[in-house]
Amino acid sequence: MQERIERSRAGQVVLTLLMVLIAAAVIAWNLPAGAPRDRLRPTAGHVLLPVGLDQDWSLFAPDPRSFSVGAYARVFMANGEVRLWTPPRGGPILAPYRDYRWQKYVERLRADEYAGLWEPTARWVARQQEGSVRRVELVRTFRLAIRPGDTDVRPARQSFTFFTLDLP
Amino acid sequence: MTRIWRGWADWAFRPVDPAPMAALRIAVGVLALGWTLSLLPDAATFLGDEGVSPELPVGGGGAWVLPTSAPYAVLALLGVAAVALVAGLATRVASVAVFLLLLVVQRRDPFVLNSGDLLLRHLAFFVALMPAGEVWSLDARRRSRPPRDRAPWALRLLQLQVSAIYLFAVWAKVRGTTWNDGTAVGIAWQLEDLQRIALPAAVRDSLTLSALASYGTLAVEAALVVGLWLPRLRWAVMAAGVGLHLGIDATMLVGWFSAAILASYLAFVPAPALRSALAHGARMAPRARGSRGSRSGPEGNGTRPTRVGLPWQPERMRPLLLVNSAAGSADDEAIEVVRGVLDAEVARCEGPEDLEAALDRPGDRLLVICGGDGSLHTIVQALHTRGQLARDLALVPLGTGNDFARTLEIDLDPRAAALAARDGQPRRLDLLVDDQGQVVVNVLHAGVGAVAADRAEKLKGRLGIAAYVVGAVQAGISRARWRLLVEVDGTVLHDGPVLQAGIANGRTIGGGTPFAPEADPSDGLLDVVVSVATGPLARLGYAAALRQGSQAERSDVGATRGTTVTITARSTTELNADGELSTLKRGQSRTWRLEPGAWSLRTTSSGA
Repeated sequence: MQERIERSRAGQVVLTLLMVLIAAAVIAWNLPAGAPRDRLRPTAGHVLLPVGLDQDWSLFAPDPRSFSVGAYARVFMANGEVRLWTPPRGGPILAPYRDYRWQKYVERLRADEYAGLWEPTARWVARQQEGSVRRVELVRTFRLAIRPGDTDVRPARQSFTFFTLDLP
Repeated sequence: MTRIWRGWADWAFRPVDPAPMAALRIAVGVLALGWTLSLLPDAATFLGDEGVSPELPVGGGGAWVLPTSAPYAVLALLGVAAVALVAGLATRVASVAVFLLLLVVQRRDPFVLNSGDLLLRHLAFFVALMPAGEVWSLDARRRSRPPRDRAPWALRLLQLQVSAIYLFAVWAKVRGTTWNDGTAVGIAWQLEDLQRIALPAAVRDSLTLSALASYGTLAVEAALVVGLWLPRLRWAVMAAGVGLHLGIDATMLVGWFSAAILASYLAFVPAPALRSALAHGARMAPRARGSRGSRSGPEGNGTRPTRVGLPWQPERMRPLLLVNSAAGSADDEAIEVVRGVLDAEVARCEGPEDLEAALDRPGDRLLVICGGDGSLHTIVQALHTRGQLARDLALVPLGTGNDFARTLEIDLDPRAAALAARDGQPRRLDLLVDDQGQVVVNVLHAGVGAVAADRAEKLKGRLGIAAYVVGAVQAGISRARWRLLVEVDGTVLHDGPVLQAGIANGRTIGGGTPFAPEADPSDGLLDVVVSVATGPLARLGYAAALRQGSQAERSDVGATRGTTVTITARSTTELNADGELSTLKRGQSRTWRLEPGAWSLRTTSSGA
């Protein structure tokens, strides 16, 4: 069936149009930020989103992030104990192929635009504990990077509580 | 417009060896399986209804945002589909399932995804469009028909995608500040959440190392945009890309990105190289197991080898058609006919690398050269250089002139020639080799014939065989004399102006013009012809006699036989060796020696 389509002139024309459509949509989707991209992205999305080809390939660009990020949770137990929950990290040699998901999750969790994740995450952290939990605080951290070659002392890591969940 | 369409259709739809598509299928299957297994520990956390994001994501998620209330069942399905994809079992179903399940799982929790996840999904999409189970698959083993070349349009789309990834990556980076001042990689090295290993401060904080790494990254990515398409640069830029991505993978937490992007390079690896690598692996495997006797083959009795269970192993003894894709005269219909007769594999060679890889394929298989004198010359040259002239060869004349085939009386009809290749007996043939190791299979000639061939070469695409006539006319009226010293076996045959001089193993040139009608490529002698017909009328007379094959009767043509010929240029002279053009500059000389019976070609007769 596929071979018949590929051999016929009509089939080749249709497949050519498909290739052009996909290539054009990928280009439009990846244009540098600006008015043309904003105008074309919705149209390109109609092509790319259904087939899962939506992706911005500006990796570490136009500049890499200039600060390290992190997040952890402070868990206040009903018995007065305070525990720390941190995302899983490290382990056997294949661990990096799992850890990166937590890294991406934390990268998003700490940002205000993903505030919808805060409460479910706090509740999930609470469910991971043995014993009764009274409060969960989500804490985000960041540390500025310095320009390579500068002799400045590296800035200290800073942390802020950004969400609190009180449980009955 | 028609020419543009033809070029496009040739690139996107002309069937090619499906090996790269099969290799991509296996790579994507392995990656999808690893990806699935690595998600298992967090499946309920990221995908379940009581995980960190129990609600379905909204806004920007696109299609296929579905609940995954039973995440382990979904991942089990994905794992099974990935295994089937690797094995090539129900390949189309498996590839579509892998793609859709990856899409559903990734859409369910987009908050944990990085570019590697998305790239893997993209690769799965393109593999689902490819005939990826045509070879190296259980599907291929179960099919009754032999594997076929397939249209590569989906492979081309993936190749474009890979180039686009690097193009957009470079484009975005050069618009930033840190990639321009060389601090980008140094800053990235400091990002603790992305560190796989903490680099020593001396490395991490060094502006010099950062600049080297930043500019190096830009250079490699820019080179990959175009270099992957260029055979001469492909391996070098690929090696640079492998180094770049392995370096990133060793130091940074990028998950499956490096593995996925390196897998995508398979789209650019020529099929012969892939087959050669696989065959090499198959050869090494028994050695690693210490089972010297496990490799099968015809142990001197000519029987077909027994199967040893590897999907590609039965193909090793099938005839291999060597097709020069760059020549353009070998049409696909004829190739298909030949392949059908011989049940052969096809190796399409776009350049010397492809040919070397094809010749590297193991086994004592018959090599069938599908092409004209140029293709024959190139392959015999390669075999001579490799010391493999003893290999079993056959010729299906698909060139424009096919002069050596005419000498051997090989049928110009592809089917008849294929039958001769299948059933014929090897005929021992002489070979001319010069003092630089360059071979001549058919005829080497200097002077007007070489100029004519040069002109004809430019016209062959439009005029076919008539190009030789037009080329000869153009050459004949443009220049009439070259000064040469021709010595045969140490004796001077001629020293002075010539219209044409040649050393012949075969009989004809220019698509059937009888240059040395008495030549016999199996007699252990080469035929030398020198024409001094340099005047206008003499040229016309020589041309007419040449068409009749009666030039030896003219008083201004000398002919002899010998085993060693030296030509010294008294004036700069063009040379034509089987269509390969070169120049002998004034004062230079070159010697050709005959190597009797140096190689053989299957023909229907055993020759004189």
